[in-house]
Amino acid sequence: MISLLPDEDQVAIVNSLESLLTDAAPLDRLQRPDSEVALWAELAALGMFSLPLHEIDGGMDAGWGTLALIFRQLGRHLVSPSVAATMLAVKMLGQHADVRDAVVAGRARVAFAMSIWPPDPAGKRFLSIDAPSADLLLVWQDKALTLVGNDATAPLVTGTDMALSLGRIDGVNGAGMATGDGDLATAAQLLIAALTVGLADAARDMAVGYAMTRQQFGRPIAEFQAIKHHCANMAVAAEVAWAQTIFAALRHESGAADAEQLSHAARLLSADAAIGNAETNIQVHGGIGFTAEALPHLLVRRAQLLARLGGDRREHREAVLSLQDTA
Amino acid sequence: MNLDFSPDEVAFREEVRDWLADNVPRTPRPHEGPEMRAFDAAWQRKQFDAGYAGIAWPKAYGGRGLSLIEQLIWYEEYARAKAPYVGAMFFGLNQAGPTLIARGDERQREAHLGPILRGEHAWCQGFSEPNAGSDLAGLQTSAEVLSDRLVVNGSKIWTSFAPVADYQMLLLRSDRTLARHKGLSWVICDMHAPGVTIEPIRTMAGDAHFAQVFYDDVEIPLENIVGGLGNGWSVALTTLSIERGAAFIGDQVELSQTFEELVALAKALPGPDGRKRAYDDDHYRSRLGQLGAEVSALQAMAYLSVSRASTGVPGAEGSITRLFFAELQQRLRRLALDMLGTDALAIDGTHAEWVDRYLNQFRFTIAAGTSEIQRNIIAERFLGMPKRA
Repeated sequence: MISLLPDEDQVAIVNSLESLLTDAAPLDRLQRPDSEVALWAELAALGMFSLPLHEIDGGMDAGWGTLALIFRQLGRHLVSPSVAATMLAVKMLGQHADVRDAVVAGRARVAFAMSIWPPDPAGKRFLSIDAPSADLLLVWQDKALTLVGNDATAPLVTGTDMALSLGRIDGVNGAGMATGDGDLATAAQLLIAALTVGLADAARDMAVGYAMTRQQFGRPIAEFQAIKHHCANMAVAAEVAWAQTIFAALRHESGAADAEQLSHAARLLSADAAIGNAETNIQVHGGIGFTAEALPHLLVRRAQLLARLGGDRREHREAVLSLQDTA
Repeated sequence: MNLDFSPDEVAFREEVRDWLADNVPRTPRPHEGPEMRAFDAAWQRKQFDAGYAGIAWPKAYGGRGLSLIEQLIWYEEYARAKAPYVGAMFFGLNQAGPTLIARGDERQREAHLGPILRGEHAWCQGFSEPNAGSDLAGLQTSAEVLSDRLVVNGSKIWTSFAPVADYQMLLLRSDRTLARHKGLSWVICDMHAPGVTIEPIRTMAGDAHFAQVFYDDVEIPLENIVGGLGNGWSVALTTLSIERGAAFIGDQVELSQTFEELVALAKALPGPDGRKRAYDDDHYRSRLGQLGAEVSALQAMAYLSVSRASTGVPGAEGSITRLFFAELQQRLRRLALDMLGTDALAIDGTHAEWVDRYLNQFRFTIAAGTSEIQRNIIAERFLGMPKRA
């Protein structure tokens, strides 16, 4: 029967992931750079990276819908977008079983490299994200995904999101060991969208949680309509973004022609939700909200990064409209 | 998770599509008065004769008893066929009938369900009052309870279809010694009874869709009380919580069609430089792309709502969808008005229907629960925030 809700198996997978993340991925880890290395081994041990593989290859044949659910959960803990690069690489490495096994086992790490924007005239300049400990780079340029070895000599840039190192790359050498087609690019958009929805969820929950405990005028500020309406708007934004993301993921899973357009809409709405909710979360927190010691700023930093990975909101709006014409 | 329809559901869609293609009225729906009522009644009768009346009602009460997914298919096809708005039949089919099924007695059901399904009785709602809008429990229309009847005095307002309705779901205070939610009764009021007067209210867009209703010693038999004397608040909650099931899908498909018309408008209008189309202007493209994504999300939300309704535990998510839908309708109409430039200043120009749509858009965030009330509901019931400051 038609349903956008998770079934029992999917709920079980998400629950086991959540119990791992509760312990292994507290948000305050993000105050330190490169804090995800230890987490990777645990995610691999849970079998996360083998999920999309066929059962014969030791996987669970997880479709894009299941992966979207999982990525929303990862997003709630602000897990590095490298988790999406890793999942996509596993799908791309069919011809390189040894490398794929290393990635699935968490021994080899994959990180994104994205085109800079505005583009340089030659189209050769990239930023790597979270790459210092990565063995492979997944280069994302428009609808092309290319997997290459990581040149560890890329000069580092101080990141706005201090948890994720940025590297400046001038040109990518060679054809790469594997490439992805347009369908995989759509999948990449969907995984990032789901990760971004998770961040929007986290910002909403953080704001509501704080409003319930913070007292002013002798009562929790959650009793004031001005605060309630901020939080209600955050709930709407997250719900809209999730509905679009899971709908697009299931359309992509069934090979629908409109999946590409739907995935751009999911990216746009999830970025709106994540940036909007992360900013409003600071407003709900008041003074503590923009201190370095409190957590809200981490969400703003990560939301701005996710909103630029594989195209910014301007590009997604344009794609939604131009693909409408061809539909 | 699954987005594929079963073979039976696909067959049902084809059946419905064929029937609608052959039977949807070709003449435009009149907007007011007895002509509108006659049109709505005839179309309802046609659906009844073909077995498509009360699709969500149980079979035992003469309905079609469709599953939620079949209802979804019906409403999708209904909107795609551009079938007419249910109009004067709305409150009977979607509120009065289901309330009588849930809370009425056998005699009340016998008297009213059949005529509603056949398009013979039109209903209206009598809840809001001049001094009880968002605060419904503050209503003051009251009845003196005699041995065999109620004698009603007071007034209701914003009553859609009042001038053409036969009956009204009337919520009144039957015990004036009790306050707020207590001492209310939900009664069936005959709109043709002596002492009922109706004054149409014209909106800023020029339509007389609703009215103020006055009750001057109106006598209503005690057997017209639904759900028992003094239980009105609980029955009214039943009326307001009746899931429109998959009916929202129809609103969503219509909004998609309006968006397609907006894109066509952008292609037809010149842009700010007088040469390129409005569609090719960066500013309008940005807003069109944003709206396109949001319109798309509304379909996803409608499917998500149906998925949740199938589990039988409807939550406050309905308020999220309604709030988003209402504000999206307004954003869409504002963009059309902006693109029209000075044409927006003429009420009878080439694109008058868009000016009219703009002037008509304010109701979306006010009628049937303001957006402020929706936000309160989302905060309190969905997010669990405390109720009062």
